[in-house]
Amino acid sequence: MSPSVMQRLLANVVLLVLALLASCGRQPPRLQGDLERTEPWPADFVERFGALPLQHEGRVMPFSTLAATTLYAVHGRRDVQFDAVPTAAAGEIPAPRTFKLSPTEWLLDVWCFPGQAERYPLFRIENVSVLETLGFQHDGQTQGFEYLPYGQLVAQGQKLQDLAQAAEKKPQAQRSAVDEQVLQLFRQLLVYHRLHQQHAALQSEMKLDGDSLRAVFDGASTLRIAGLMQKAEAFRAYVKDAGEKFEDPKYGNLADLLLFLSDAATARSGPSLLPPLRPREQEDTWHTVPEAIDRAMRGAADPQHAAMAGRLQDGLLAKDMKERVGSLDAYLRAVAAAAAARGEGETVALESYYYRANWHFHAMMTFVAGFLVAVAACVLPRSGMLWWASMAASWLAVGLLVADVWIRCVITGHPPITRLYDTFLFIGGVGALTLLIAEWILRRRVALTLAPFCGALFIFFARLFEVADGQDTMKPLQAVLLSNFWLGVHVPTMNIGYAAGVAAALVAMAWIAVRVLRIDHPDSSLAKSLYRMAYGVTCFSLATSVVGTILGGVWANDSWGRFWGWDPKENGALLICLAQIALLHARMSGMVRDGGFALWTVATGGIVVFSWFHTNLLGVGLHAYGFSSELLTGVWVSYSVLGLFFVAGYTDLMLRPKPAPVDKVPAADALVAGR
Amino acid sequence: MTAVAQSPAARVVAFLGSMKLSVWLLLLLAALTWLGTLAQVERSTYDVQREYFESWFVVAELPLSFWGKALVERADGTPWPLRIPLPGAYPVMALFCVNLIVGGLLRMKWSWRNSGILVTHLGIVLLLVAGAVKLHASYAGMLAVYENPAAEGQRLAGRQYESSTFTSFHDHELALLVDRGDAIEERVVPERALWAARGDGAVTLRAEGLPFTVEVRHFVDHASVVPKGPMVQTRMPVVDGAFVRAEKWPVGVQPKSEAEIPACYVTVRSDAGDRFEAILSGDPRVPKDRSRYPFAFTVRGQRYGLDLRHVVHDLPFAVRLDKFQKLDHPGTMSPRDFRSFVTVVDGAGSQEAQIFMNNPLRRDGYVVYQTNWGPQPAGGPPWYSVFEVSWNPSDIWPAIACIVIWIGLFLHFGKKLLGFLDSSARASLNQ
Repeated sequence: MSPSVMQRLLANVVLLVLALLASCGRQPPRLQGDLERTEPWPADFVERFGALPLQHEGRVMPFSTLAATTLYAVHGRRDVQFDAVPTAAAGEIPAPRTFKLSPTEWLLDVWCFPGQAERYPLFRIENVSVLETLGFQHDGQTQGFEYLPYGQLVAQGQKLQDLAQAAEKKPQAQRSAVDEQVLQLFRQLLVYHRLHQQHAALQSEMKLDGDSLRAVFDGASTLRIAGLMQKAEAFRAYVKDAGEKFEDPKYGNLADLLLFLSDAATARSGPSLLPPLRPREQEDTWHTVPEAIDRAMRGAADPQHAAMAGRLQDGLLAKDMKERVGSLDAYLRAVAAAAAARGEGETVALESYYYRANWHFHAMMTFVAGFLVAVAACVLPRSGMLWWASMAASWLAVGLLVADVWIRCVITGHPPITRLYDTFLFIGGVGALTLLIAEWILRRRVALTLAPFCGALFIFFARLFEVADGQDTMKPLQAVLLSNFWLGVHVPTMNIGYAAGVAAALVAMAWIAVRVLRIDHPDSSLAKSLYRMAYGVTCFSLATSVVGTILGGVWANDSWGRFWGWDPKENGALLICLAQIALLHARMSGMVRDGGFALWTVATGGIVVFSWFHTNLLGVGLHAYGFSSELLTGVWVSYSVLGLFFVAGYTDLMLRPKPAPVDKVPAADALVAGR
Repeated sequence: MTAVAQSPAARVVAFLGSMKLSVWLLLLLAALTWLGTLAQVERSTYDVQREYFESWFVVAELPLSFWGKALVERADGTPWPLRIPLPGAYPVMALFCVNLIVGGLLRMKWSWRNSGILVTHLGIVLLLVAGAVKLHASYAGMLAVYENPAAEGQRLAGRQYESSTFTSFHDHELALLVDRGDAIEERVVPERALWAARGDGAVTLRAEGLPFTVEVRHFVDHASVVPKGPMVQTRMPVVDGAFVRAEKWPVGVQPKSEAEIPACYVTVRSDAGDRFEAILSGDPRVPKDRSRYPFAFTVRGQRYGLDLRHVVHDLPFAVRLDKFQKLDHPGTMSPRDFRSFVTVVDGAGSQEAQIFMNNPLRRDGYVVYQTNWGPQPAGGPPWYSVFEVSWNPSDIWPAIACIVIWIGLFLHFGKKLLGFLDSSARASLNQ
């Protein structure tokens, strides 16, 4: 391999990365005025409280997971960043301070400082026309997008709802970009709105008028709803006594209190925070705070729930950080103990650890390191040390990724792939592993470079997808998928087929690059090795794809009584098999040689993308379980990259069917220099 | 290569078994699969299946779009399609099967070297044959039963708690019912026999030993029976103030053949010269009690009925629903499990079984699957459970084929990999 070509390529890659980094460093949005929370959340408390168990969307999860998925859904980022500009005295120039909140810190602010949280720049508006339509002032499309706080957006909520309803009525094909953004914005507003309203009853205190009413609560002049729950029986007797005369002045402001209570007891949205005290077998559904209030008012008060709600409310209404942290810790301990008694504590603690430890992120960075060392191994005079270093880094990264996926399996209790998100991690890992084995067999350093590239790229995609999708990646499965046998047999086999298909396409792209960029002669041993490698990986992909596809049919036959239904996802899998079987037979019968094989393998890579994602985005069939426009963009980007290699390779094969022998190939660096 | 003159027969065999033919057939099948997948965006899977995959010929449509945008837009905003005439997947797969048997099994050298390939090819042939058997010999339908109440007296009239028949999803039949007092005797004609009565055609049916003929006219696959008001114009005959109107699926609505209701006109002519006319519809229900009312007539004092209905298949056993159970993921409406506790009754006795997702009941060649439940969406007793019943002689052949193919591929690629690892080819590439 010519070092100078690799050096030039490397220089270009570095420039590109620098340009990307520069574009990411935009100024954070500004938040004017003083903040209610004057000191940061203590780091150890944030870590502890992140592990608070709660029940949401059908499973018990830690607070940190709820915070992260909600933040991804409404904000589209992993953190909330802004520059706070305090109010300054006349003549002074205020010094802005940069804040960067983790999802857990952000959700704690939403719970405890709702007035501050509603001023956070949260809702991303990519289209200036949306701002105009909603009647907001703006200074043109300066930064590509703007962030609006909840407090501003909710003022236009009715208008937004009308626009969203109008957009909803249009058929998908006729919706404009503004329509799509309006729909998304309205959904995001609803999610945040529910979150904002969730603790409305706990976030205030009620004034008590009238001696008789105060006497029920030991003479107190103000009342917290948790206190009311603790005195539920006495209060019920008092209300019974008042009967229909509850508006009589002798009962103080009982009428206001009852109105407040009826509101507090009927708001049922949001996660369930109170674990049932009966065993899991008897009661699997947790209670929300409004449900507990409702039960207390109906005479089924649960003192433990009242105590938990009391600690939570003390935390929400505390005067200073120390008191707040103390109360919330007490609430956390009570809930964690109750959850542990139900056998629901372990996976929550593990999940909280899982997201903190972030092993797949470390795997990605280790892959990047392995990639850089592998590039160095290609560029520098051949050094065995660099080869071993890159190999070791990539194997370590694969190990980290396996550990990450293994923890996910323990948490969900299912085999590795249950959702679209899981396929990224799995395919990245298996693709890298396949290429590492290929490198082990044919030591040409190309697979050594491609393996960590493949691993890092797919983990990166997984992280993009996680945020863009904004959903819990461990959501419980619907009944038809709840078969660990089939989930463990069909799904991984099929995805190994996809992964190997991706790996084969990468090797074929390398073959095309070697030929098109004149890195080496198509008859050289490097090109021949790559061809052998693409062939071997294709065989592996074919074997797993065929078995995986038929296993899918056998599963379908057990679930629905039909082996094959020509459903888009089934067709996608079949397409991979057909393309690869045809390719192997075409090679066998001499219809294609190395060049045709490489082009065909790249095209098969396109089919893998079609089968893996595009079929889910068609919106039909049993496997239509994911949709987002970002994903569709990703699919088209992949088609375009593969298409580019295909066209370049095809053109080169047409123009130079028989390149000159090795020694007559012009020096690669001379070509690059344009001589 | 030697230039030996081949007989025409040998040349045909060589062509049928050639590997180049396999490649082209595989590519053709891949093109059909791809186009058939894209076609499902606009049409139902069932229709696409019949048009692309079970047909002899298809004009496939490729919607011309790039990056999710139509290259040329039609009036409704959908991309303009390129129309490509292709053979249907059925003949392609049939020819492929011949190609595989001739080239991949018969003409291939039966040696240890080729053992993996031969086993794999054998598995694929088994898979294709299983598909053909399923297509031609299997049938399926549904069976819906209510949860059986604890006491006999709590059963409601008109509700089925036990059933030994199931009804087809798509296919219809014309049933002649003979009222024998304590039993109803049935004679059936499949829908296919009535297709000649579409448009201006007519089909005359005569059953042995019965004193009348039935003439069927104007058979319409997707129709509704509507009253003929003074402002309504129609070329169809009007019987009892109503006529058959052909229905079309509105633009933008996915057609569902299982939701199509056929209708036709019948004229009964008795040997004595009596004549009865009626419209038969696939859904002859009286709106209030939701019961079916076949067209009834009397000839020589014997009561007869005619009913155009979904094909009814008999089972050699009866299924009774003892209990239905639905569990949700906590705090949500999404089901975690729904299962039916049933008793299967046949001449030999009765047996309890559970049917749930991924766990069908296999018995006497029939497979009974849990497919649906009700009442939806709220649920709650009295529950009913809907099963899909299928009769498929090749039910487990694909599973066997899968194991055979796995062994074949493992053998073949395993041998090749080991051979390569050992070979000088690897050594020469790894210089």
